[in-house]
Amino acid sequence: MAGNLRKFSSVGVIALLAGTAPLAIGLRAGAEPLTSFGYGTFGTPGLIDMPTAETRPDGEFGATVAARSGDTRGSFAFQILPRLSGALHFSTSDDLGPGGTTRDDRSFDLHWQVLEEDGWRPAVAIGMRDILGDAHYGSEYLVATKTLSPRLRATAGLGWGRLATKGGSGGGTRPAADANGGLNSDAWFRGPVAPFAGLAWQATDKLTLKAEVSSDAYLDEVGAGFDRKTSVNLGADYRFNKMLSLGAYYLHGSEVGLQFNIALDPRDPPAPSGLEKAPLPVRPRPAPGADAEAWSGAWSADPTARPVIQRTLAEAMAKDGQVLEAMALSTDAVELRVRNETYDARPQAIGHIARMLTRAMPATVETFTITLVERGMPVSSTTLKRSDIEALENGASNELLARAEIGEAGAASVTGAAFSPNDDLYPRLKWAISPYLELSNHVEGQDQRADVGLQFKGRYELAPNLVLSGTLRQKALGNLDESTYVSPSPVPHVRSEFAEYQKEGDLTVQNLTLAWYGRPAENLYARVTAGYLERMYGGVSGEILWKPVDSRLALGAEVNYVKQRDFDQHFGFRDYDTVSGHLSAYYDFGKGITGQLDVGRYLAEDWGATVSVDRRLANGWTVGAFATVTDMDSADFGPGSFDKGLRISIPLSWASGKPTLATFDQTIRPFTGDGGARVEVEGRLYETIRDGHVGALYEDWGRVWR
Amino acid sequence: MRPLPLLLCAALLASACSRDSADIGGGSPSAGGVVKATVSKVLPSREAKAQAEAAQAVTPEQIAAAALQSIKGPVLLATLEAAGATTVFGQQGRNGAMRSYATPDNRGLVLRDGMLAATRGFGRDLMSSETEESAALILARQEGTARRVQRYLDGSGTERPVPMTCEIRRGETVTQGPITATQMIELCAPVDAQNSYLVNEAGQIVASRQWIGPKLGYLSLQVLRD
Repeated sequence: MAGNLRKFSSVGVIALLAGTAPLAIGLRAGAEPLTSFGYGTFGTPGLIDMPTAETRPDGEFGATVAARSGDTRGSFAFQILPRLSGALHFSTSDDLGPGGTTRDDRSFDLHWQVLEEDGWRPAVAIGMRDILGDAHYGSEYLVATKTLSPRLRATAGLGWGRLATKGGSGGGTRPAADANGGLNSDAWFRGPVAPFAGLAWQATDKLTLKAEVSSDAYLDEVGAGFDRKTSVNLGADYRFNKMLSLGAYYLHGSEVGLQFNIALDPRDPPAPSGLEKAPLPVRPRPAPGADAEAWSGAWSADPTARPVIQRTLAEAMAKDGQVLEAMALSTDAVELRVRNETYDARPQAIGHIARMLTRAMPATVETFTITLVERGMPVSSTTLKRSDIEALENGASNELLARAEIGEAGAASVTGAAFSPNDDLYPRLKWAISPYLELSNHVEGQDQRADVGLQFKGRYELAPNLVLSGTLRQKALGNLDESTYVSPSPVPHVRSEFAEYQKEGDLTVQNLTLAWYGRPAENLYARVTAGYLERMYGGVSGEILWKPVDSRLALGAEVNYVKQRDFDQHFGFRDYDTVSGHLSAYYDFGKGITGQLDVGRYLAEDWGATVSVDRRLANGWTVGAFATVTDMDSADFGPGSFDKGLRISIPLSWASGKPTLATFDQTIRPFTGDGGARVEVEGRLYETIRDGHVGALYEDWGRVWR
Repeated sequence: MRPLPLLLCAALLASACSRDSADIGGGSPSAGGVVKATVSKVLPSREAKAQAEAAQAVTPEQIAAAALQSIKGPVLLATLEAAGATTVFGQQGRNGAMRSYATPDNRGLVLRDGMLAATRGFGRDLMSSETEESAALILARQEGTARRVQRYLDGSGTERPVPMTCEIRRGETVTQGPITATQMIELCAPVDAQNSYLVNEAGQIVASRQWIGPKLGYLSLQVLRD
């Protein structure tokens, strides 16, 4: 063809084609929950001190610092579900402690938007502040927010507890808070009730002005000299961009405060479809009539064919960030055992391999089975017809999914041929050096401290399922060793001596383990890990998991024999040793929500159960919450009464736009005690295999042609 | 263990470094890289501006001439209007009516009968599209109404289809040198996209301006060698 169009001047063509169509598109459909213009001083949707019935974008993780003279409050807020948010606060207030000392306080809030705004009906939310413990901020509210114009919203509500200390009436006496830090459920929605109200006006896209009539009398603060001249609070928020905003507020006609907010919206990554290079396209086969030799299958008689194909494929896959562990090839089918080391969305790995196979396989090979392998364990087999890949390339991803078969990965290949392992892969050594930052736990009466240093992580893979791995740390500078915290715990100090471990920074062995993984039977997975499991414990950990590839339910059992390590985190042990273990049930509720129940014996030989709920988006962003209740007396646990916390996992691919399995993980515990503590083991089975099973594969399938 | 890389790594405190005896992939992004990427999301970098300005200095004609010399096979010249960047794509594969093209730095686009079917590596890619009804009218240079679907990955990573209804109009016929081509305009609702195509007498699209999607905007394409 001679369609050479150089004679068309490019500039001319572009000018001819240029139009002035405005761009506007909404990719989200349906009614949206009312999203707040900004944050209140509690880091949750609110005006200043008063709450509103708004929400934050689904899955958002926010960090807020609100400070005025002598009072600082830091908050972490998670929008756990589209209408449910939770927040943890760490506050320091001068003169409010016993005898006029500084008061350090931790509190936890929940906020649930019961009704979305709809026509004339306002959004309605119910919430509880400072649910646990001494409850300096303990209060509950029922609040409604109505959009008056796109830029103006009005809020009115009723408050209980602290939110009824000004203008409260009726309700009798509110029961006192639980001094041991348990749930204050006796007090919830009890005692006097007071109204509050406010307005938020989005003056410009960046500036929001707020005013409220507060029902909080600031009793403690007034007792320590705060001058509460009026119930009216005024505030302004300035939004720099989607991530950063700065606020100022004027409290009760007497004090000015500042607030800084950082928010990460998991649904707004810089590059939703990734910046990685384009995949290799499908190479369709010639028509059988056009190339009879290619379709004859004569190649299968040639013993040199398979090794050449396998080597070529392994090289292409290595460039793509994947490891070909083994291949089984028959005249009409091929099965690959693949270790994906790059794509957090497994279907993307599968899609890349499927297209490589169209380029590497002789024409007679019609069935492609791609078996994902995690730590040597085959976890699932996805079978695709080559004709479907050719016909549906770059089409709707669900059309290919409808024709894909995802099943249990067997020990023998579905092709009938034997697996040929790829030579030269093992032993394999991987290591990395990176800086680390370690922060002290938040403890009453202790300053925040930190260390920085260098971390060495190494993995020596003797076989796909037998791995020696370890992490060493060398402190460079910091002041964690200045901690004066002494555990007051009356029970075995299984976790509360964290400060003693944090003080040591001289070439510490964070962990050093030998781990074995296996598939003892269909639907069963097994793990044995031995060595220095974590910085505080060494020993042996064994686990077994039942999880059919397409099952929402998984069941597991784990037993550990562990001994407490020396504070210096070298190779010695302390006197305490114990057996701990759990029976676990996991359930995938769909839409990325997973629940987990663990029942068993914890490190301090206390018996109990842990409930966790995690929410994961297809892009890998996960937020979750957990709580553990055991037979340990809540007074023995100390402040906080029982173990609970929030956790977040942010895939680095979300932030960078480049595919990687690496994540940033953080667990936030308001209190650390000795009850409900589990040994930390790297590579527990459920988290190891879940991304390769049907639930996650379906969720991530939109990336199969990426 | 090799001491030299270890020492070098220790010296480079700011970024992670690593080794893999099996040499899989191109290495994962470091923490420093992620911070940089996040910062660049917040603050547009001077570097990027400078690069864009430097790219402007080379005319599309120069890029086209160089590409035709260095690339064998079919070549496209493309301008991403939002970025103001002009680049060339070489054909990488062909599957029926579908042709896959890639830039030298491996960003991709897919055309089906000259209609944009997909992009790859632009961050907010068009994952796939159904353009058959539009293509039938446009290639025949006929007016009419056609349904079209474009699919994207939303922020949470789920594929979302955007269905559209497009009105196809016939514009003027232009002759330049030996080539006569008819301008076809495709107006798609509800996204307000306006695609335009120059279709030659053989029913081939020789140049076009097509809407990729929100944020990426329009891509101008010209067939340099078919």
